Amino acid sequence: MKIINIPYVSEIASKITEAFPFHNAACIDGKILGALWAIYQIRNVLPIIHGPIGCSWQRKFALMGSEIHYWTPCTAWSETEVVYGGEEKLYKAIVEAYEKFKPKMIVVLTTCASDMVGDDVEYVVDRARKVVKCPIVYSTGDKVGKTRQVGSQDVLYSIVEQYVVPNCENVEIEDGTVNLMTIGGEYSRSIVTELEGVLKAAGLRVNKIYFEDREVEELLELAKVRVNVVPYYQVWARYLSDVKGVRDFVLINFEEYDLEKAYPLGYEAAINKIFEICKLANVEPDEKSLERFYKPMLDRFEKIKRRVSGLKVCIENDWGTCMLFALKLGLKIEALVFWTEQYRGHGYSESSIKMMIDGYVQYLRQYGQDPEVIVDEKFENVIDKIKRRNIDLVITGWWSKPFKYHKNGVVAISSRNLKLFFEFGLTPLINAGEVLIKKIEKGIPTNPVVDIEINEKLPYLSKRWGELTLLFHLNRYEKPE
Amino acid sequence: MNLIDPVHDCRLVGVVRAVTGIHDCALIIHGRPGCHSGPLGLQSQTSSQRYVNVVYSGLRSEEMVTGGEKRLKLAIENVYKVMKPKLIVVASASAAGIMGDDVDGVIGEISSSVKCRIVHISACGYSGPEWTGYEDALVKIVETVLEEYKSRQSFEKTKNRISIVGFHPDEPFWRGDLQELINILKEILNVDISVVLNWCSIEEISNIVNSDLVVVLGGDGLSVADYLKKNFNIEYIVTPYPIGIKNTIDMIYSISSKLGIDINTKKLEAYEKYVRDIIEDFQTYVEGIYGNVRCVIVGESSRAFSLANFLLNELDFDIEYIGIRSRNYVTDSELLKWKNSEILNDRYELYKKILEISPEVVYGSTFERDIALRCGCALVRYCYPTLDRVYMSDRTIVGFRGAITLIEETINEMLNMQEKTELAYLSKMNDTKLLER
Repeated sequence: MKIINIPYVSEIASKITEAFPFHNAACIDGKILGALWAIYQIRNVLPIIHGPIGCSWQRKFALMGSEIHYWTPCTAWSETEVVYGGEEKLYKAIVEAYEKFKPKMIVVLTTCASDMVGDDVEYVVDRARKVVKCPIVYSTGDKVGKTRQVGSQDVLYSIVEQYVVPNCENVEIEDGTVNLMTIGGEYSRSIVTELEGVLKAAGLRVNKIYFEDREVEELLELAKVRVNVVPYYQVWARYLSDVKGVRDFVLINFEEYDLEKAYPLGYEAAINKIFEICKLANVEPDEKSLERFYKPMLDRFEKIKRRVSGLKVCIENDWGTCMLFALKLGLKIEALVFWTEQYRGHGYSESSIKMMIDGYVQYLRQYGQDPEVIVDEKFENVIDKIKRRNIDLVITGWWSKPFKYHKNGVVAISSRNLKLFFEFGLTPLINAGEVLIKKIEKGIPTNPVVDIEINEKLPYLSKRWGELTLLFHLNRYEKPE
Repeated sequence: MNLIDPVHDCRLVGVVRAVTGIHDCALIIHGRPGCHSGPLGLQSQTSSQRYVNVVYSGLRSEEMVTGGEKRLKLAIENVYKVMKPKLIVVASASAAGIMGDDVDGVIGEISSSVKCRIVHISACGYSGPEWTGYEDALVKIVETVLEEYKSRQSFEKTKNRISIVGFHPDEPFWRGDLQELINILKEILNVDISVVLNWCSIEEISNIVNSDLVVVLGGDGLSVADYLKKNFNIEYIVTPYPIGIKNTIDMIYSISSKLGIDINTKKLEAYEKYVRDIIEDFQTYVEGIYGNVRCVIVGESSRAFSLANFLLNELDFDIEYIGIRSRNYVTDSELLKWKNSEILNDRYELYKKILEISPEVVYGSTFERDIALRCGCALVRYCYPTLDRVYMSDRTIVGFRGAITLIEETINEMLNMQEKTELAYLSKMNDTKLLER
């Protein structure tokens, strides 16, 4: 039976589930889901989940979008394996999987059960490699520390460590070439749309875009280029840099409070990144060609900027991209609203939340902005302050509810609609600017149908989702006596 | 078998399904985050988000060495403070089970400070399939709620008052199904309904002791009925899931004869006329499918056999195969009635079977989407887990109106095959933007 993993997620379908407060709000995915995201990017790769059926069946669906992982075979642990271990079962399962599916690669994923019992998966895989005629990789989630997303990071690292590096001895590095990564997972491939064009304009050759729908053999070309450009830090890319000298270049740096360094949004940031990549790839950038590439985009951007410049905005629960967007378009950031539970969900302590807010404010002040900072206030107070400051538009946080502003006579748009996360260059700013103009023109709906009870403590969520989110954070981060 | 691509989940999801729809109940999953996020995602994408109730105990990797009992204690206290539930169910998942956390001990220790009932259900992934988790959890919940009633000598049973067991508020069309079921029972049988498990509050569950009869739909929740019979002397009957007209009438007659009550024939005739009128309005469409469809049914035992009965006996379909993804206590007797039926274990085998049969319609869930696409056949979603459709309206697939919905869904999904054919051709011609979006 031919394995067909479907790597594409419909952007249109994804819109439907984007508002679910899952990621670090009410829950966090286990490593298996991340691992499957990565595996599903590559053609004819078969995962084998070494554990009970639940670790497999529950992971057939991704939390967001209606993406389904149709094939998630497992070793179906019973109490026997918990007592005696599952090594023999795994060995037989690998052989059986190859006979049934004839995949191009098998990736064994361990689970809590097999990790705790202490199965020697490396030994089993080594044994199986002698009889199975396709590469076998195993991923335990242990090799990448806490680098998120652990599951996908660990699978990609394991593939590079166990398949790419041992098989690329004769691969010659080509000067002036780069690979781009969209990275499997829930994030869009649009991060490479403009990047691919501008790199070509600069004089680089884009070898391949990974990992979306790539053949197993094509993975060897990860070691063929001068630079692997990754959206955010990837352990496998750094490893390849260390052992094969293929440099890795990270586009987004979440640790940075200097927003221009954190996110590659806008013309200047894009050009800086391109110059850095060219340097790593030993290529002198073709500046004239770059100018030609960006000229029409810059014209369009300036036109948008003229339309919206000076608009008074309030930005709610942001991670920096909306603030950067506002700065680039010349908007006046009148207020920043923070409901800090959202940041606590990502593991931020009280002091780091304060440091983050201060960092944002200081950054904005450098550009002549002086926003009022509203932290954990009651929603009614927020509305009062917004009205007092004659704010034209509120850009809400990812999970926050524009309708609650509409009900209070305030124009609002969700940051989800602006699509600024995991993006590169000028295109996302142009697109977001156009969305913003449309929203301003549209104004407030006269009779919004949505009316959901809001959680008092977490006004960016509904009553029940707020409770579940709060509990997720409390149970996860509070220290028991 | 050493390698299985499972068609059903482990005990944990059975427990989740047993608490889904109980309005003032919270479920703490005592395990690692993956054992929480999957069930939360499943529950919130298939049932009411007003009552989503799956909470993570917070078990961290470092506690896999030291044990997670203190963490669980804290989680129970937090859940009580934040959600104020009437019942907390703790389901221990694989990690807690292997570590040997004393969950019952934690519950005992905390019971003086947390003023609500708490029950523990072992839901380790390796300890059994989904349906056992559902049955055991439901019994434990009912048993806990009715504890105080057990010592009483007698109960005042209300005549013609029934309770329903086996209704799942996470199936497609669940809202409409619930309403239709209640309407039919009230209008045609004039009965009162104590409680519909599990779409109820904890207080409503305690009303179950006043029931004259427990109706077990399709066999799911039979253990609860058994428990009620043994401990409270409440009679029960197992009826087909009321999919299609015959199954619905069978359900009505079973209840009527058990309770010795009359059927409101006028109402029954009105329902039947409703169906007849619609079929007349769309007669040639219905004639188009009548006796003219080869199909495969995949699903839970409680619903799949009822659907098969409807499709075979009311629409003259060819039922080529019935694959049971999750069983219950009456499944064995049903399997004997259908020669092309079996309990499924492995999706690989199901896939092979469907490809070999090459049916025109598959009745299943979202998980059969790719099989249907690869086979080039229509998919009618009628069972759990359906994650790629949202059922907000009161459309139903049970009862008389439900028969119409099923016919409508079948016709529309078959008509939709033209769209899929066009898409396949456009893909072949490399002229669709779909993969870019």
